[in-house]
Amino acid sequence: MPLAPSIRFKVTDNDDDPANTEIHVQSGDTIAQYATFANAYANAMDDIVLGKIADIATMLIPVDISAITNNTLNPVSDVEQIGAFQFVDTNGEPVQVNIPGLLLSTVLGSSDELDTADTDVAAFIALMETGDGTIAPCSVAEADINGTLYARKETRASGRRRR
Amino acid sequence: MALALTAQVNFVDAKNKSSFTRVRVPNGFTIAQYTAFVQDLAQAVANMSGCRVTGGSISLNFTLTGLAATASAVADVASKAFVKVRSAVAGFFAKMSIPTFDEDSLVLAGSDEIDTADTAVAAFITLIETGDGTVVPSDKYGNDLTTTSITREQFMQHNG
Repeated sequence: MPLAPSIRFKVTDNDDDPANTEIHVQSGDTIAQYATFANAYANAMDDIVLGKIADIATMLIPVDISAITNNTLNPVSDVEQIGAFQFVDTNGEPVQVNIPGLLLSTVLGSSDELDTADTDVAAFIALMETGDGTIAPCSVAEADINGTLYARKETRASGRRRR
Repeated sequence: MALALTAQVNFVDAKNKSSFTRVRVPNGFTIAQYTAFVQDLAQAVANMSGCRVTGGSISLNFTLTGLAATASAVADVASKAFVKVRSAVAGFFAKMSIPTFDEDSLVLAGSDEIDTADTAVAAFITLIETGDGTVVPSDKYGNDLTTTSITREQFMQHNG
């Protein structure tokens, strides 16, 4: 069972030192209802603290992924071996997505290029470019993704991944 | 301009090292629709990875209004209010640590106990225990919170 959603607030003091506090909430409400609660909670907290509560709160909603298939651990899997995808949005800006533990069976022989004709690679690219029928991925500025610049294998030390 | 939401899928490899994939998605959909997208994303990346997918999430930002514009000159993130609240399931509870707590005004003299009779403190505790009439706070497993068992000031070193 996934954990309950949480809402995190950032508070800074007179030296601009930051600290976070969070509260869990039951699932089942709408985003607008959670937004209303977050504002009420922040204002109630504002009455008992001396710091500056940041104007943005972040809500994390865990998703139950227990129904997915083909989710077995390969004994030689390595998160540092990634599938590096660079997409482009409608503004021409790049959007990078990395997939840890890339299966080498998706890589074209004697190259670092991913086989975009591979069923699973093609399915992932289609999901990124066109979405799942309801939601289509975008850039951080909410510009729609409409193309793929490259898809290749890279090795990158974990903890130093670019975003 | 609102920023896009983040859909995240988490992985662990054979050496138990963890990592994640993040994809931005637009605002304007329901939680059920975002949930379905994260599940589709998790399936798509699981098919290409030798790692095990361990979880998924969606994160979104709320813009807050009506808050103080600046910190008080004596605000210190190391001064915290520690609040522990029992849940409806015996043995489970929620803990909260509120940074920059106003200890000079809201702590009972000669003790580390927070003055729960103070109007602002009482309102805050009521919101935690009962919610705002719609959204209900919980422990991290989603169990309803019932009664506050501990409210006291703490001084904890921050990581900054």
